[in-house]
Order: sequence, then structure tokens, then C-alpha cells
Amino acid sequence: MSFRILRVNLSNRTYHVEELSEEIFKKFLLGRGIGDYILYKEVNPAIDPYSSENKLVFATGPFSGTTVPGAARLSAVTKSPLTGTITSTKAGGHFGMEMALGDYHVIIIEGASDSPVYLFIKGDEVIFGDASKLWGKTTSESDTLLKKLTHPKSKTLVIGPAGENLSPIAGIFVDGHRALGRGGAGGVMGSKKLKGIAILGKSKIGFKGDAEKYKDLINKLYGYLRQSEGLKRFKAFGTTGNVRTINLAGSFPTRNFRDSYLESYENINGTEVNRLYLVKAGACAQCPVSCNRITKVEYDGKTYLVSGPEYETLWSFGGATGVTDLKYVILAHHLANEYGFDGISLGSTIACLMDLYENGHVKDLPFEAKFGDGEAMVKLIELAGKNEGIGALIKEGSLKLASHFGHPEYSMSVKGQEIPAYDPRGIKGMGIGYATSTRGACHLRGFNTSQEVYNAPDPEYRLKYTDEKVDFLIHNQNMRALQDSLGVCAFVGGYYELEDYSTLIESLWGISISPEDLYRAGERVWNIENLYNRKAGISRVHDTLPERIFSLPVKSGPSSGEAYDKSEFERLLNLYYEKRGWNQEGWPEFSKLKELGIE
Amino acid sequence: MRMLNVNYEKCTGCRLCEMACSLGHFTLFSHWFSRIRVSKGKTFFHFYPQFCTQCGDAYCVRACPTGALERKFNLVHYDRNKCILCRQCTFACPWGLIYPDPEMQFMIKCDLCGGDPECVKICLQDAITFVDVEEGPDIKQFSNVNKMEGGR
Repeated sequence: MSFRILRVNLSNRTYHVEELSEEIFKKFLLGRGIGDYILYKEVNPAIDPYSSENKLVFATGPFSGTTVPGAARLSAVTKSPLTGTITSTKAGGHFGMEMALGDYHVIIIEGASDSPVYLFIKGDEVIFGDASKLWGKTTSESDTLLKKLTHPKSKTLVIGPAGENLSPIAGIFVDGHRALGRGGAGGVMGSKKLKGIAILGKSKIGFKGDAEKYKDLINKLYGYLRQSEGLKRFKAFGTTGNVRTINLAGSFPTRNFRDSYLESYENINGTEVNRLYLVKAGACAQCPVSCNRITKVEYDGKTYLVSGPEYETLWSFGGATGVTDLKYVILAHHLANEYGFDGISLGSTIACLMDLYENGHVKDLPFEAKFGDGEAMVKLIELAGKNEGIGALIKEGSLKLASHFGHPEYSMSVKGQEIPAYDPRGIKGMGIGYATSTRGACHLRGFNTSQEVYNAPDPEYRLKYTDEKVDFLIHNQNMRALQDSLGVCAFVGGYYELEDYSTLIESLWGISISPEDLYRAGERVWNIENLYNRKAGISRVHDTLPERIFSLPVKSGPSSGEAYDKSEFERLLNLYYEKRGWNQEGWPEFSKLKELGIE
Repeated sequence: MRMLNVNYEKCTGCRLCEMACSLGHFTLFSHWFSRIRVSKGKTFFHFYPQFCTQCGDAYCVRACPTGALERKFNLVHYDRNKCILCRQCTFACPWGLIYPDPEMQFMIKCDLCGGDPECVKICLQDAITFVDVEEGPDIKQFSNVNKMEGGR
């Protein structure tokens, strides 16, 4: 057994290595699961997320640093300053792979430093470096400087000015451009005065099981991947092709959810991104997919090379704000990355401000901020990044912003976290998913769009309130928890069977774990997250959707006239709790916890 | 006659080739055991996979005092048994593409996997290909024409 945990204490600048027991691995795996377990065991749910008692756990999966396709993702788990819940956020990039090749699968950051600090993990050694010269720098600058200070081949995690300014919508950036975005992990890192981590893996991963079995399975997987039509499309468009699909399904939240269909969506669709701005396709470590769009955009006499946009940011800076000039959308995505924000939350917060402005609730802005105004959007992001004027409020997220102006109902968020780009009025299952997600509104937790749009029996299916959608949701949530805990990317997850995961773990690590137990582990991860949240004070009243979803019907597009029926929502929520084995307040029943072996 | 060919424009820097190489030769995973190494350029999206290109009149062969390195069948062949680990080849190679393993047991250099390179098999971007010698420049020339005509 050789999963090692590196525990670093920033308060007294010490570190030591621990071993993960096989028993805990079998229950929670790695990635998101082990992060959740560590937080559950070690961090009191009642603490202030920005206090030094909060911990930040980085964990990658058991397949990192191998040839398993698309399986080197990194999770960060902490108590979220945005939602007050546990949050786990994932990113691709190369840090996870480098961790595994450095023989660390988990890194726990404890305490807080008094002055800006960076870590350099070089083989068995951890160096605490002075980061005062990096403080205030953008994510890409910090990445470049940190590599200069440490090693040109090291891989980095950095925060931008947003994280330094304790923004609850700040992310952590892998190699300066892949975001551990949602939930404000960047703010937590900033509160610890930790500007960045560089790592240089100096170890190797050997086989503890049967290498031939591994090779056979890998050959089979690459065989599928080479022939897959879906993958070819994905390589060509990344996630951006979704703009068209979701608009045609009437579920593209437009102008802060005042509508659910962007009339000129063709202007910000993937084909336009490719035609006008694409330079190259990029990929994460160990991934044959290459979904990342690398684009070039010119603005104000300068040329920007951008890692992105993604579907989500095309929505948040495009649909949500009503901006349909792709140049501004890509630039906004870039600036959000550079300042270190979560693009979904930042875009949605700006949309919220524009909505407040148009309805006369915000008056003293130095410039107009109407829906569709790209210039204003860019200026607002600059202000948020610099923490100046209205920007100081924007960086706090939409709920605090809207509450400041006396209209919290303008914030399209669940538990404080902004709803992403799938309108629950148009895809009903997503609504229960957002409400019950363990980190506030999130499309990744239970992606019912898969069953209700992509593989739907008929185009109207997405609008129905059927019981089976709850079953789909629970299955999606468990499966995603499992994939996250194995570090497998959602975009290749579909190519694996549960048996494949078992075979891979057994052949690589010599640990036998049945497909049923793996599925169980996913369910366990979901339950422990929920249990943590209930202890942190989350209750049924928080498991809901913004009022606008229930009361404001969609104006145009294929979901015209649709709102979310409140009584149907309550019925499905009851059903969800029941099927989960939780009581009607959302607490897991003792019998459920016993069944899952959670203490 | 075939050669390893690389198209930098297609490389996404995923480093699956490094992992496949170390798996194929040593049944383990490590950059340091890989014969192909991907270096990052100045930007975040330019990557340069580098590997021994089996030089004709190779500097490493000239520098080798024991005959452990020898050119035969269009391959710079390395014989572990004759190697004294003096590492003069590392210093002689202008590209740094022959180097010792981290435990200093032997030298690591590309051997084309005996004619079926692992890095090529795993590269779904087709950035690394194993092609007839005439074809390598063809690919490059063709992509250049594309560029001149305004394609991407």
C-alpha cells in the first residue's frame, strides 16, 4: 500500500508524510472522497471558512501518472466561504499527474502563514519560499514567476488577486489557466497567505498487480477512443458546441434568468469560436481528448492568448449578461482567469448587477451597465479584480451583492453559489439537482441533462416532473462522486465500465475492490458531504431554488411559458430524500449511515 | 525506411507518450525513465516532444569510449553491458537526448521500440507519427501550404 499524504502546516512551517490505510482507501478512494473524509474528521463544520482552522486538501486519483486516459484530475476540498458547505472542486492540468509521480496522492494544507508564502515540493523535500514578490500578480504571471523561482519543469497551483482579496468566488489555477473554480477555494488559499504551490515529481509508479491485465484493458480503451465519433466532435468543438444544443432545448438562462433562450446564440456558438478565434486545441495531462480551446483575441491594441472559452463561460459572460459579441465574451473569460475568479460565478454576479441596474436598484455607477454591454462587463471585471468601487461588492458573489442593494431575490444562486448554464425551468431534473447538490448549485454533481436532453426519449421529456428523474439524479450524483474520487474526467467517464475501474485499481495497486463496492463508495462520498453540511447548519429550507425559477415563466424559445411548479418541486424533493434514505429535513437516517459504515 | 516524426503544432503536451514509453520499456510510470520528453515552450500551449533522432554520424557514438553506442541498421544502438556510465554521451549530444536513469544504472535513449513505437500508438493527436522518411517533410510542407492559404 503506498498512497502517501503530505501534511503541511503553514503556521509553524513544518511538514510530514503519512500513509493512507487500505481500509480508508476502499471506503473513500482518493480525490474528492478522501478530501471529504479528511475534512469530516478534522475540520469542525461550525468554523469560519477563512479561519486558520479550515484546511485545504488537494488530492488526485489512483490513476494519475499512468496511461489511463483522462484520469489525472485534481480535487481541492475545503469548507466553502461562499456556501458554508463542504466544497470540492476539480481541475485538469498537470498538477495532479505531477503529484502522483512525486509519490504524493494527497496534500493537506493546515494553519495559516503571517506573510505571503509559496511551497516548492521537490521530491521528499518541501521548501517554504517568500512570495511577497508574487503577491498581487495575475495567475499567469504568478505561474511563470513561480516556475522561474523553482524549476522550469515544475507544475504549479496559484491564486490571483481575487484569492488574495478573500473573494468567496475566487478559484485556484493549475499552471495559471486551468481552474479549481467553484466554491471559493482560492479565497481559502488567500486567507492562508499561500500564493502558490510548485511540485516536481521525482518518483515513479510501479505495478503492484498484473501489468499485462492493465495493458490489455488500456489497449481496449484506446481502441474505443480512436473510433469514437463523439470524441471526434469533442476534439473539434470542446464544450462550446453545447451553446446550440442547450438553446435548442430552451434551457440557456438568458439575461439573469429573465429568459431561457438567447435569440442570437449563433453569434457565441462553438462554430464561431472555431471560425474566428481558435488557435489550437489543448489538453490536460494524460488526456487524449483535447477539449480545451486556445484562442487569440485582440482588444484595445493588445493581443491576448486565451485558454478557453468553455461552454460555461460562453454562457456566463454571454447568455447571462446578454453580451453577444464573442470578442468581449472571450476577453471576459480571460480576465476572470487572470484575476483568479470562478468564471461561472463572476459572470452570473455581473448579470445580477446588470439586472439590478436596469431595474433601478443600483444608481451610483460611474458608467451604464445594461444587459448586452460588453464594454461595461469588461470594466466591471477589471474593478472586481482590482477590488475597487463596485468591484469590491462584485467579488463577494451575487447573493451578497444583491442583498447589499436590498434585493437578494436577484441573485440566481442556491446556498449562495450561482446556478450554471442549464436552466431548471427547461430541464426539470436539473432543478432537484441544484437544490440538493452538496456544494450549492452545480451542474457537475447530478448531470440530468444527459438523460433529459442528450439521450431523451422525446424533446418534451425534459419538461416533465416524473419520478424516474429522481432515480437518474441519484445515480448521476453517485457516479460523479465516484469518478471525482478516482480523478476520472467526466468527458471520458462514459467510456469506462465500473469493472474497468476495479481492474485498473487491482492491476496498478494490488487492491481488490468490487464494482459494487466502488458504486457504494460513490454513495458514501455523497452521504458524508451531506452529513457535514447538515452539521454546518444546512437544512431543508436551503435545499431550494431561487424564487424567479418558480414564479417567472420563460418568455421565448422552446421552453416558452415554463416555470418550475413549486408543489411538484416539493414532491420531488420529498421523494429524493426518501430514496436517499434521509429524513424529511435532509439528514441521513442512522440506518443509512450504518449501512454505509459512516461514523 | 521509417522515422519518428513530430508535428509540434498538434502536440497538446498531455505527456501520455512519456508514460507509455516508461511503461513499455520498464513496466513503470515516470518522466525520468521515459526516452521521450515533452518540454513546454514560452506560452502555455506550445509543447515540444523531444527524442533521440538516431543521428548518422552521431556525437554520442564518437564520444563513447567503450563502443556501448554504435550505429547499426540506421539506429544508434546502446549496449548496456558495455556501458561504464561515464555519461560523456549526455554531454556530447547537442540536444541532451541521452541521459542516465535517476538511479544511475544505465543510459536512456530511444530505440524505436524495435519498430513499433509506444509513443506513436498512444498519441491520439497524431502529433508523433512513425512514417516513411519521405513522408515526414511532406506533412510539414503540407501544413505550411495550409497556413499560407490562410487555413489553420
